[in-house]
Amino acid sequence: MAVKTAGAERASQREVAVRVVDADVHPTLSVDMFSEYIPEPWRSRYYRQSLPMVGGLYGSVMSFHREDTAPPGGGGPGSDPEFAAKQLFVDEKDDYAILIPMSASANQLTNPEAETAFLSGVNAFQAETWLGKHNWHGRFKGSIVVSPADPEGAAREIERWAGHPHFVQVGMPLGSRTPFGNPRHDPIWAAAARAGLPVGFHFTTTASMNWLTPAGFPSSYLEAHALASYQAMTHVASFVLEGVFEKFPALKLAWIETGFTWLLPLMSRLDNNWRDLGHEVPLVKRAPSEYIKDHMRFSTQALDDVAPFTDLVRVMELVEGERILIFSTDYPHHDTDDPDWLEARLPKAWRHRVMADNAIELYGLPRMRPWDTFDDQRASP
Amino acid sequence: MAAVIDTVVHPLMRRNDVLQQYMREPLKRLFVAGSYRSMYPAPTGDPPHGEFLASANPKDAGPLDLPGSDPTMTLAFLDENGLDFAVLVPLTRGLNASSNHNTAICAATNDWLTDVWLGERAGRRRFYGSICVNPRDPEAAVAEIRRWAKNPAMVQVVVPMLVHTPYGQRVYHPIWAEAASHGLPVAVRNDGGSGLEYPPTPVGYPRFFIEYHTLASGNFGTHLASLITEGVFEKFPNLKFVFPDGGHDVLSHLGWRLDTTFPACRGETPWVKKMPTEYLAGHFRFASARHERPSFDAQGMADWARISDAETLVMFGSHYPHWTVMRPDELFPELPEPARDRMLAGNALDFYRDRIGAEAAAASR
Amino acid sequence: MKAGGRYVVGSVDELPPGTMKLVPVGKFGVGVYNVGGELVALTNYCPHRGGPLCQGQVIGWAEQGERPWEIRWSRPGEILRCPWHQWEFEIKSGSAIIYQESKRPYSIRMYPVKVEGGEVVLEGV
Repeated sequence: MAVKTAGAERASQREVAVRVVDADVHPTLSVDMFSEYIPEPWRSRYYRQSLPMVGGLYGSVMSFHREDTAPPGGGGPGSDPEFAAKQLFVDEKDDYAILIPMSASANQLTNPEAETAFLSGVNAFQAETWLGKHNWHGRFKGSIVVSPADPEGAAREIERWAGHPHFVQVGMPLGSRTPFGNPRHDPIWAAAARAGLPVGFHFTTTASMNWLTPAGFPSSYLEAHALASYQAMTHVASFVLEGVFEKFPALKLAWIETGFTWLLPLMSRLDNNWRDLGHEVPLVKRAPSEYIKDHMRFSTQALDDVAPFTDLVRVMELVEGERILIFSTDYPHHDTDDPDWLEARLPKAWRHRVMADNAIELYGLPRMRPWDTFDDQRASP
Repeated sequence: MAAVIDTVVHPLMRRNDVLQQYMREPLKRLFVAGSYRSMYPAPTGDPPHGEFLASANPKDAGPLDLPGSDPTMTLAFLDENGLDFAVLVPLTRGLNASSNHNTAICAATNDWLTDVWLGERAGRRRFYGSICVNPRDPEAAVAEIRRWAKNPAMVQVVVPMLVHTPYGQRVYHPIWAEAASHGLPVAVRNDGGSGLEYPPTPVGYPRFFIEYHTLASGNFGTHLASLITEGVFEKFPNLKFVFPDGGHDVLSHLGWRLDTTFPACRGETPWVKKMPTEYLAGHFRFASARHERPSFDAQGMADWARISDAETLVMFGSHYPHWTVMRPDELFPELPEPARDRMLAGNALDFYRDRIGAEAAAASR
Repeated sequence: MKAGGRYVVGSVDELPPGTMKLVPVGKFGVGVYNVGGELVALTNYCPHRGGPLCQGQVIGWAEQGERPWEIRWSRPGEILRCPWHQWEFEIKSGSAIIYQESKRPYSIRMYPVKVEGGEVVLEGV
C-alpha cells in the first residue's frame, strides 16, 4: 500500500496518512479519580476511600516510569492526558494511542461483582475524560476493562460500551485461576465478538496469586517479570486447544507487553502435539499455528535484548512477524522503545504493517485521520 | 559409528509394590501412588498405562505389571537404535505429603535401581543411574547423596520439577553444595502423581492432556531464573543442571527476557555478576524432545539452531518407554553431522565427564 | 558560545562537584558532570536504545556485601542510570559496568573537557 509523502500530506492539508499506531499507552489512574463513577452499593461499601487491591508485589530498585514523563503540573507520569498527548503526538510520532489503564485492572482477589463495579467506574471515567473532554483530537482510543472472574458482568459491561466511537477493545489482565480458553469465560468472548471488539491482554503486577509459578513463588522482580510470559503462553495454548476460535470465528485477541519470541517454540509445540493428540480436542479443526496467526496480534514491546539485533529480526521472520506484530511504546513505563529506533531496524517491507496497518485492521481505525494542531507543532517545532 | 549416549531412559518397577520390598518397617506399610503421572489421563496407547509404549510391556505381563520394567527389553531398545549407553531417570511420584515417607521412597528407589538395573546381573554396564533425593528435607537429601556419591554407576542427582519453592533459594543450597563437591550434576524432571503440586501452569489447570503436555517441559524456567538470580553459580561454580523433559526451545526467549530486565534490577541482586545468558552454556543442558522441534525449511532450521545454541545445550534423550520416544535419527536431521555428534554424544560425555566411565569415553570418538 | 571545535559550557563555579549541566551540543546534547572534582562530558544518547541519558539519576553502585545476601552501597555519585531501561554507566569511563567484561561492551560517546581560565570547555565538538 502506498505511503503518503510529506509533500502529498501538505497538499491535502485536511488529512494525514496514519503511519504509527501505538498499541500500549497507560493512563495511570488512582481510585480517587474515578470513585464517583463506581456504582452503588459498592462505592460506599468498599471504594469510598482506600484502594483495597494488593499492589505490585515485586518491587524493584528501578523506577517503573521513564523519568522524563512526569507532568510539569504534578500528578505523576501518565496522570495528565494533555501532557501525555504532547509527549505522544508531538515529541514522538504516534498517530493513535490505544489506552490501557493501569492501577485499575482486574485482580480477582475481591468479590467478582464488586470488581466488575469497580472496573465499570474506570470505564465511565475513561469515557468522560481521556476519551471525552480530553480527546478533542480523537487520537486516544480506549479499552473496556473487565474482570475474567465475572464473565456475565464482563459481557454486560462490553455490551454497555459497544458502539462507542473511542473504545476499540476489551481490556483484560493476564492473571487468572483458570486458563482463558476454559468455557466458563465464553460469555466474554461472545460479547466481544458480537460487538466486533478485539480483546487485549496486558501483563499486570497486581495480586499475589498471579505470581505463583508451578514451582513456587519467585523471590525477585527479575524472576517474576521474566516468567510472566508463561501466563500468556498458557492462555494462548488454551484459546487454541479449547476451540474458542471455532466457537467465535470473529474473535480477535491482542497480547500486549507479553513479549512474542516465545511464539516460536509455542507454535511448533502446539502443531506437533496437535498432530499426535488432536483427537482429544475435536473442536480444533486446523493447525494451531494457523489460529494464532489469523486471530492474534502481539505488541513489539517488550522488545528482547538480543545481540546481534538481526537475530531478533530473524526470529520475527520465523513467526511471521510482518502479519502479527503491532508497534507499542508502553508509555510512560521505563522499558519503552522509540518508534524511530524500532522502525529503522525492521525489514523495510514490513514497516508499514508493523507500525500501523496491523493495528488499523485489528482496531478498526481509519487509514487517514484529520490534520490537527499536533501536526502543526511537529511540522514547525 | 560413534557411541551415542541416551540421557533419558525411564526404568519402571515390575509392579508398584516392588518399592515396598526395598523399604523398612514401619513406613513400608504406607500407601504409595502409582509410578505413572496421573494428573491428566493420557489419551495415548492402551489404558491404564497409556503413557507408555505397549511394546515395552514385559513378556507375559499381567494387569499389574508395568511397561519398561525389564532391563533386557530396555537393552534391546538401545541395541536396535544404536545407543551405547543410557542414563536412567526413575520416577518417585514427586513430592509426597509426608516428607519423611518421601525420603524413604527416594532411598528405596535408589536401592532398587542399583539392585535391578545397575548391578552385575544387568550384564556389561550400559546403564548409568540417578540418585533420587527429597528436596523438602535438605539434610536427608545431603545424607542420601553422600550414601551414593562413590558408586561409579550414579552420574547425577535427580529432583522433581514441581516443588513449592524455586531451586535457587537458600534452603536448597546445602544440597547443591554436596552435589557440587562430588562433581554430580542435578537433573530436574517432571515427576508428579502424589498430588502435592501447585497447578501445572501459572494460570491454573488446563482441561486437557494435550494442553498440559504442550507446556509441561517449559516449567524449568522458574528454576533456571531462580538459580541464576540467587547467584548459585557464583557460589558453586562447577554446579550443573539438566532438564530431562526438554525445554531448550523455550530457553532462548527466557534468556533474552532475563537479559533485558536484568540491567534495571541488578541492584537488587548484585551477586549476579554477569548477564544471565552468560550462565547458560556453562551450567545448563536440556534433553531433546520430539514435540519441541520447529518445522522450518533448511535455512530456518539452521538459523534457529544457531540462535538457540542447540548444538551446545541439547543432549539426546530417547525417553524410552514413554509414548514420546524418539530415536537418534529423529534428532535434527537437517543439522550438519558435527552438530549432531555433539548432541548425540559429545555434550553428554562432557557434562558427565566427572562420572561417566572410561568405558563410555573409550567407546566414543 | 562556539569557537571552532570548542564549546564553553560555563564558569567552573557553576559546576561544583555533584552537579551536571546539559548543553545543546550536537544532535542530542551533551551532559557535563562533575564527579568528585573530575569533569566528564557524556553525549545525551544511551548506546542501548537511544534514551535521553542525561535525564537519568546519578546514583551509587550496589554490590555484594560481606555477609551472604547483604547488599553494600558504594561509589555514590559515580553512576549514571539511564531513565529508560535503567542501564548503569560509570560516569568517568562512560561504560556500562555490567558489560565491561562481556562480549558486547557498551560505551557512551564522550567529549574531552577541560578547565581554561576559570571556564569549563568542551573540545572536539
